[in-house]
Amino acid sequence: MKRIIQVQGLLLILILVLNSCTPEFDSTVEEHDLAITTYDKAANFSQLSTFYLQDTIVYIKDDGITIQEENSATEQLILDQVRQNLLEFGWKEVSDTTNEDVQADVAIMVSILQADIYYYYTYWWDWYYWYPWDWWYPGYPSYPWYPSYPSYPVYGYRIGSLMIDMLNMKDVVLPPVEDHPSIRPPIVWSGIVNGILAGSEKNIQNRLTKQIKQVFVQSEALYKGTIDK
Amino acid sequence: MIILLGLAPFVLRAQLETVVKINYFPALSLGKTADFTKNVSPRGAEFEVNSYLTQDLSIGFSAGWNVFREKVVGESFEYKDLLITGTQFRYTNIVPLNLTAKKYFGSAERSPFIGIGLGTSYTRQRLDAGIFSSIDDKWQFNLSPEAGIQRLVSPDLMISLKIKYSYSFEAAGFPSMSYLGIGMGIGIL
Repeated sequence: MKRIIQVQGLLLILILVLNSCTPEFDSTVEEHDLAITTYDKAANFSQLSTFYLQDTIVYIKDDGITIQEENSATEQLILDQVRQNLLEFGWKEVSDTTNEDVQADVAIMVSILQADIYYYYTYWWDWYYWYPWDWWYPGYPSYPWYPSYPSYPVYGYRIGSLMIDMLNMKDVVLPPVEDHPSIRPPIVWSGIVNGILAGSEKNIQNRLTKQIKQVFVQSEALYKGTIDK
Repeated sequence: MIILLGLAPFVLRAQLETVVKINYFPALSLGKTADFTKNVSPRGAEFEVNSYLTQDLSIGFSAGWNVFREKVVGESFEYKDLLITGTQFRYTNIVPLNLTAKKYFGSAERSPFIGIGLGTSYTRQRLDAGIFSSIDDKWQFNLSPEAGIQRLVSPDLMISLKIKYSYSFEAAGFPSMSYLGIGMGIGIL
C-alpha cells in the first residue's frame, strides 16, 4: 500500500509537470497582423502600368454591405498608402474620369471585411477561399457594384481584412451604363491586410501603413523597376 | 490523469523487481523538428518503468512528452497560391511511447547504463499566424537510444541522470522528428 501511494505521488508530480507542457506564447495585437498576397501567374504585368484608384471603400459587415460616402482619416490613409506604394513601384495614376471612362490599365478596388469570427479556425486558410473574389462589378464612375454577401461564421471577436484588388481593365470594354453591367474583369493581383480590430486609431493607422507597404514589398510582379523600392 | 494514477497498483503488482521513475526532461530540437521549432525547451517529462530480469538487465516501457515552440517574426511563407507575411507561433508536441531495454554496468548503488527504446510517437505540430491556425499530426515509428547513470540514495529511492536521443521516422509525408534530451530522474523501487 505504501508503494502504491509512492508511485501515485510520482505520477502526480508527473501530471503537474505535464500540465506545464502546453505553453502559449503571449502575443500582442500587432503580432496578429498578416500581409497576404496572390496574383495571376499568367498575367503580363509588363503591359500594365497605369492605375485608377477607386476613391470609395466598400465595407462588408455582419449586417450587410455599405459604401462610405465620405472617407474618415483612416480610410483616407488607406487610399493614400495604396496610391503611394503604387507610385513608388513605378505605376502611373490616371484620375481623369471624363466620359465615364478611364483609360487606365488596371482599377484598384479597396474593401474592408469586418466580421466577428470565432477564435482560430482549425484549418485556417480555407477562409480565404470562401471569399467570392469575383463578386465585383468594376467601380468605375457611374457603374454600380452589387456584391453578393459572403457567408461565414459570425461569432467571437472582431477581425478586419483590408482587401486591395487589382482588376485588369486593359482589354475590357465597358457596356453602356443602362445595360446590365455584368462584366467581371479579371483580378490579376490581390493584397490582403488581416488583423484584429483593436487599439487606438493611431495604432491601427500605423499597423495599416506598415502592412499595406508589406503587401507591395512582397509583390515583385508589380514592381516596374523604375525607381528604388 | 485519473487513468495514469490508476495504473500504479497494476504496475507494481505485475513486477517484483521494478523501478518506477519520472524524469524531468529538457531537450534540444534537432533536424526537421528544429526546422519548424528551433528551441531548447525546458518543457519535457518522462515516465518509465524498468523491470529487472537480472541484476544488469531490465526491460520496461516509457512514455514522454516534450514541447518545442518558436516565434518567427516577419517571415514570408507560401500556402497554395498565397504569400503570407506575419508573426508565426509554432508549437511541436511529441509523445513517445516505447518498450525499453537497458544494460547496467557497475554496482547496484551506482550503475552507468545504456538503453534503447522502440515504439511509436505521436507528434502534433501547430502553426498560428494572425487569427488562423494550422494543425498537423502523425503517429510515427520511434527509436530512442539513451545512456546515463543511476544511484541508489536509499533502499527504496533512486536518482538518475541520462542523455537520450529520440528519433521518429518520416511517415506519409510527415517529416522525421528528433531531439536530444537530458533526463533528471527520481525513482522508487
